[in-house]
Amino acid sequence: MIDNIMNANSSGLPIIDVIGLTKSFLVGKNDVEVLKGIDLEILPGEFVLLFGHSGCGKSTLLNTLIGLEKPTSGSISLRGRDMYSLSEDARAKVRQDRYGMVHQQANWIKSLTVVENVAYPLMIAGYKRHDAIKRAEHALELFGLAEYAKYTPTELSGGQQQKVSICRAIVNNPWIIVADEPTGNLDTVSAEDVMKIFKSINEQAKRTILMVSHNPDYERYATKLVYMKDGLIEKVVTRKAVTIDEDQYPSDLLAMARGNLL
Amino acid sequence: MRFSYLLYLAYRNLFSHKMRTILTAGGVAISVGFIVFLISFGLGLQRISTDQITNLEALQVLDVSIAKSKVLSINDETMNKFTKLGNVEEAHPQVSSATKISYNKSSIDGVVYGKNTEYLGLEDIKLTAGRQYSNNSTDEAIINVAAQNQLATGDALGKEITLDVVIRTELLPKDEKVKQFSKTFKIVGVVNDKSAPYVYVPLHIFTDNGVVNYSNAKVKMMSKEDVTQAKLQIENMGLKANSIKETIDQINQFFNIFQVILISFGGIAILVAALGMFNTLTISLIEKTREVGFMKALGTMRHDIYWLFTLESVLIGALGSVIGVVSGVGLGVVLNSAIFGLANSTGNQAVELFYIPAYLIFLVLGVSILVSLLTGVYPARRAAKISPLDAMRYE
Repeated sequence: MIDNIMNANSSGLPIIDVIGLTKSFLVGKNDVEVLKGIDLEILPGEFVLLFGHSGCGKSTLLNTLIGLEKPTSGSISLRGRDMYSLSEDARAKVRQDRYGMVHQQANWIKSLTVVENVAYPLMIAGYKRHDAIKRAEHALELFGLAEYAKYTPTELSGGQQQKVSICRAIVNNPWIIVADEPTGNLDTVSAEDVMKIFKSINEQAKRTILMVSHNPDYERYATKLVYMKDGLIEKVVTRKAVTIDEDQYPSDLLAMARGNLL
Repeated sequence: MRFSYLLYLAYRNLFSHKMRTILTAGGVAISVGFIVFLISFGLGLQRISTDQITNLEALQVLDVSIAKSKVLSINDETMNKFTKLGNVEEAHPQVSSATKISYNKSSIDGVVYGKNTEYLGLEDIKLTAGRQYSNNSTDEAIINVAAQNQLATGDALGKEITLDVVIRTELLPKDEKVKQFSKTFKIVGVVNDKSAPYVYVPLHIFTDNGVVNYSNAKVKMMSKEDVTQAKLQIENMGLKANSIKETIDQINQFFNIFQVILISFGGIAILVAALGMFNTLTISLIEKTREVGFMKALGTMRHDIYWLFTLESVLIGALGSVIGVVSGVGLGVVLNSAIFGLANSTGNQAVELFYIPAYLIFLVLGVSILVSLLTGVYPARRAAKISPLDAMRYE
């Protein structure tokens, strides 16, 4: 399941290509158009920040990108493959292998421990339990969370929980990490910590990051800023062109030495 | 997802709700235990009744007696016909008559049976002391415990009794009058029967005194399958024929109905347990809606979710079933040994009141696990259909 990302990344083509995307919901008897025609290119290695007021369609766009919300029209390609030409289970498989997800509120399988939760994406991908736990432990170690491995996730603080969900998001070595307001529930210090982790995942591990946020302070972390308004993209600002140095590109995200992520 | 991991997840989910799991499994355990207990009670009773009545050989034997009309009698000619019926192994007659039994100065009224050792063999009599008569031409007798007690012989073996026998006309050739004779016998055996006093003597005692018609006869067939056919043939001859097989068939039929009733009760218990389990699973599903949605968002396949819920149901069912079977069988064993102890201390014959064969235990296990699987299907399908986005907006 760990693809040769170097080859894939060096193609120079967008990792996600959104063309003419619309999405309407039936509310009562009225069709409400939430996305009104989105065109967006995300290149490999970009750190994309998605800004916009509540209700402008950010979350819907995100859900559509990860294959959970079928668009009304338009297409989404992940490395040239149309997401919605795939079956529901095939899209689930894409989420298993290609996406890492971090939500505003950390979600847990409550009967499992911290390390088992981190290992879960590997388990659904068919890893042996022993191997998955080992890799999850390694991921926790990278974030300095090894001592909490046997805890129940809800015993941790909000900031710790969010770090653990980042662990879980990267444990399967994904192409893209999608984060929906990951710092929304955190205090300033914890939030800054979490943002730094994302930054290093982006810079050190060269993973593409797509993040929704309300906080304009985070602009400095991003390489591309996307502003949404009323279901449309208002403007796109590229702050820094991304060039990937292939020699430095680690094929396994977790292969980086301890401490690099903090 | 690996099956072993699904199993592990299901186990962890159940383990994290210990109380709920135990209560639900307890419901299953009670109903399964109840069923096992009822079945073993029914089968135990059935086994006791049929075992008491007969050994296997007795199933091959027909009892022939004279029909009410008394038109036809059983004599040597009739006995000859019996042996020619086909598939008959042996046929032996018996004569019974009223008698006065005397020992020393005491005498009592009783019945005397004239029958040979072969007939005794077909009866499978139980002697408490002594032996059968050594051959069919001796003047030896076997008495029962009732006679021994009433005559106050003490240890009856070797004592001598005198019989004053009245021979009824139907036992004698046509037109002969009622006969009477008196004879002394040496007691060689005692039959364990406390009901009414009687004596067994060899048949020649009667034939020597002019008896030509017999009271009844036993016909033993080659196999128990031949009994039905032979019974019909003998009845066509104008005689009455009964077999223990019929009685046993009737008893078995009764117990089959009894079992159906018991199993229906058990079925109701299982249904109640299944409803309880269904309720638990549904509540668990509602509680876990968000979690399931999230698991799907992470890329868990629908069939994995489906199997996770089904497995939880099966695990609860299996846990409950095993506990139920163990306690159901265990209760039977405990009661059996209590009965055994009681029988031993009071000097009665011990019986196994609860009995269940191994295959039935596995059948009950299989059925209850199947029921729990079926119970899990609907909640599992609902869980598999949960939309990840709706679920994660839930709460």
